[in-house]
Amino acid sequence: MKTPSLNIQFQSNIENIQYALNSLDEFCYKNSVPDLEHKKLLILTDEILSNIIKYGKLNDDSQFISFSCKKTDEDWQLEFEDRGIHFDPANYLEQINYKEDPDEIKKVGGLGLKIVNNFLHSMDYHRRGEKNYLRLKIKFINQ
Amino acid sequence: MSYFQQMEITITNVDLIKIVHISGELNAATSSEAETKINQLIMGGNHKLIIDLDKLRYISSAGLRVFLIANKLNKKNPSGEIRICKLNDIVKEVFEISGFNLIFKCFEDSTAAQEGWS
Repeated sequence: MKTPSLNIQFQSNIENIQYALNSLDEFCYKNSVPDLEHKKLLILTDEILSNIIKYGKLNDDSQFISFSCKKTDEDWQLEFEDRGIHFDPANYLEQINYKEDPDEIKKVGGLGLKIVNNFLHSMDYHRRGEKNYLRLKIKFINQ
Repeated sequence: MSYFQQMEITITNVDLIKIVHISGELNAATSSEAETKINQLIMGGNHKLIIDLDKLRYISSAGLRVFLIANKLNKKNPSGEIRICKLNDIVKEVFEISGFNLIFKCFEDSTAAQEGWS
């Protein structure tokens, strides 16, 4: 049986986050992804694309982001490729104490990455040449 | 077929309270519009706000920031307060992960959220 997957490439700008989310949304509906998993995939994708474009300094129509989503027997995998600045999200996953200091929330993607960290099973980042490669694995409990 | 649910904000009045109903998705693509509308309400002298999330599918950190910025703006008025109601499961989970359930009072519905406000 063919594994369901989504593969898209789009210009790297804030507006296209919605394009990617719409594509993923449609993919999830067509593949009957359970509601909670569906929404978590959307949130994860939103957070990572925001980080790539806003903090990876890649709000640039001449650049492209590749995004894929696929289901394996064990998990969901989200993959992102971009040519932004070196940005390993794992380096920013330390607990940020923004409850005591709201200004902490302004730090690089802190709040979004905190959400990401709670939703995923593993994160694998590497940089090859001028490209960033990020893979998220997400395991869900059967509903 | 379009699966995307456009983010929409509607506002209803109960006495001096403004109830802000947000539907659709509050994410990186839609948060700017939401931020503008909510902040306009506050700058227009409305300091008792209830954010009703009954029709919200999901929220990301960009959406959370809308509430945080509005709260900071609203706190400049001594009686300013923002309350949140009708969080679905995924929104509630995001609030708990981020600690926003400790920053904002969250209620089952807008009637409960109005209690104590005359």
